Amino acid sequence: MKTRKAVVLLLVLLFSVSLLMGAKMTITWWINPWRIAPPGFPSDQAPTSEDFPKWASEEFMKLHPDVNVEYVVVGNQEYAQKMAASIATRTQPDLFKGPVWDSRWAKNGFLEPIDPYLTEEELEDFYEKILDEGLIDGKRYIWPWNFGTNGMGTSMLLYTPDFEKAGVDWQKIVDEGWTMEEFVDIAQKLTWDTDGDGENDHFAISFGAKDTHNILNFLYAFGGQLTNADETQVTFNTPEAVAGLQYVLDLVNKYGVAPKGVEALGVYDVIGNFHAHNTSIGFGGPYEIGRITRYLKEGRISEQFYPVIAPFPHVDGKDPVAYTSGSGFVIFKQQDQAKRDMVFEFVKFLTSFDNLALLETLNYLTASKAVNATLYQNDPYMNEQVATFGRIMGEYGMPFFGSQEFPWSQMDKFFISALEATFAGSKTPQQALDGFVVEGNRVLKQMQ
Amino acid sequence: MAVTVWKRMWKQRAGYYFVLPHFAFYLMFFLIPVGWGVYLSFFKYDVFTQRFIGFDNFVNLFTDWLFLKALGNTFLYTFGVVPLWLGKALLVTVLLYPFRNSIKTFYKALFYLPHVTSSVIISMIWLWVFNPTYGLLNYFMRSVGLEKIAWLGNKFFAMPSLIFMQFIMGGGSTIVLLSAAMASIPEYYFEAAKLEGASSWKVFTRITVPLLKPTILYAMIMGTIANFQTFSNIYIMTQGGPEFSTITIGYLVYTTAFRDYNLGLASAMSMVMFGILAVFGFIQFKWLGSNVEY
Repeated sequence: MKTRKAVVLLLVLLFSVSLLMGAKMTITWWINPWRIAPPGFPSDQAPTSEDFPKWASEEFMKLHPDVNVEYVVVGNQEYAQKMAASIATRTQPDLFKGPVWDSRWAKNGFLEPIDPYLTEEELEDFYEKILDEGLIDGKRYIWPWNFGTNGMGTSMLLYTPDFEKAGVDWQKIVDEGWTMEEFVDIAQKLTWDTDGDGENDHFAISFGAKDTHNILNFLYAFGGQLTNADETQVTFNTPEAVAGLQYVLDLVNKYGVAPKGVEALGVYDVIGNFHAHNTSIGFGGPYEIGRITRYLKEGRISEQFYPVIAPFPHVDGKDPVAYTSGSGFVIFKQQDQAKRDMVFEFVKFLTSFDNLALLETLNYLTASKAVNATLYQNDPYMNEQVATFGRIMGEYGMPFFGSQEFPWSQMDKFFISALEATFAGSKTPQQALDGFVVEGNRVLKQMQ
Repeated sequence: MAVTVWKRMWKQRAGYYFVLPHFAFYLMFFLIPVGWGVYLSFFKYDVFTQRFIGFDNFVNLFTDWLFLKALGNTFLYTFGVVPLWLGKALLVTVLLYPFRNSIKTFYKALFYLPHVTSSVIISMIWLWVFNPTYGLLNYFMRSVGLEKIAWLGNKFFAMPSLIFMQFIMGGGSTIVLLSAAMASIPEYYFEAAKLEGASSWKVFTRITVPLLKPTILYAMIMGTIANFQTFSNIYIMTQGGPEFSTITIGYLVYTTAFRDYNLGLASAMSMVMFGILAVFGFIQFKWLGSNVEY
């Protein structure tokens, strides 16, 4: 009899709990791997991609006990695939931060515009460039979080001991920049034969055909333009663009300051060369400096080193260029007003002053001017690098891949192919870019 | 008539009950997705909108140079890898045959090891082997006085390099299969041939290969199907480059579906691949299939 009572009681209890659980509002969010250290994280350990989303979800649930927050860390490689599948099956998360963005989501009514939830202060505080990242038909769809990417195509990293060994004043480069001619001259000084076998094995720089951002910088620096003003024609085969590509090719073949085999290399090969001190110049911004520290903690490299951030070289009489973008959280359409409000509440929590400042642990700049003014106060080295990075983006920043409407993601494979053909020697820069323009315009025509 | 059929089925219902769980999974995870894929291939389906366009996707495919290039590459890759795999597996099987079991097992395990290793890990290792500047292969090239080669960067070397990698790493399961099949061939066939003065080559071509034919056929079909769908090594090592010289149908389906969000076109590509594999299977069974009795 007692047992029966206990069972009935347990069932009632379970039912009540499940009812209570069912009453909870659930917010699901996806984020790609951001190794941000949450408050209190041990400084001698490298944070994993789970630490920040787990902490943020739990903290928000503490503030809102009636809300259940579920996060999923989605790898960069499979993000587009998972997102496409989720949209196709209408199982998308409530919000996400990822390496993918498609203006068609907004155009087809899948996203919530963020404008009704943006306060005047936020509009003032967020960088306009980032707010405009998600601007489609007059409405904004990306809630700003970070400013700039890892810095590929934005700035260069100089390994100063090599510059000092070669007798090059790196501080002057950081402060005043360098022309394309000066770059060649300095790069030659930074290329040498380490093991004395008569062949250079240490190079100034390295490139990868699959690392488009950094090579694109040279095409833009020489005056190339991806498209015409209204983005109805791909125009990346002008004499200026060809001169930019020819310059990079010459760095490899004519001046020998970058290793051959560019056609087979990607961005991680380029990063690896810099980390191994096979090259003196790397690419990227503060995040890439953070990568050095992270790799050291993970045991992937054996030595901490402190490169300085410098602008890309420029054509004499022209400014350098820098790839600038920002990103943030995207909110999928919500049917229920209360849920919509709560999802935006969560986004505001993630981008609150204190939580935005956590991006400092990843060496990223935030989307907030106010937060950025407080970062790296106790680290003079990083403070200086971030200041240089911010200056480069502020003065020379530009988008590389057209507007949000432009289908770069559908034509980048043809651009990579053009780079591969150029560096493999199977096409001249002119032929390769002509080929890209044909394919790019074909994609544009299909889109229209 | 129909009543008789139903009666017979009802009588044999126990058998159907046994088959039911498997069939349910087969239906859910194979037949429905394939059917859905066939359906989608007749639509312009970009995740956001769906519009019936009849055979347009198929017409577009066969006028698209990139698809035709991918098709050609896939054939090249498959017909490069499968004969090499089979040749290697046959050779290793025959060479191992005279040894005692413990040695055979050791070598079979050794060759099988890559089969149980993630293809992603294998691809990462070979990326380093093929690295043009600091890779192992070019280190050997330099040490014998040859010029470095951008193995995966040169459009003429990239596909042969991938085939070479697959040749070295693959074929383990075929060796295990062929070894098992060879062990079941009665020993007296070989003894009789030797007594008659047959050479090793004659024994191999007249006895071993014909008696292994069903297993070879099976390995060939499975190898063709697996290699025709190759994806992970392309995705990790070349992304279809350089200059699309290693782009395969499997990789093109992936990029069309998940980068271009053109799921209708990607489904049509999958259907073409499915059709080609079905024809392969039919031809291979027709030409090579035969019953072997010991």
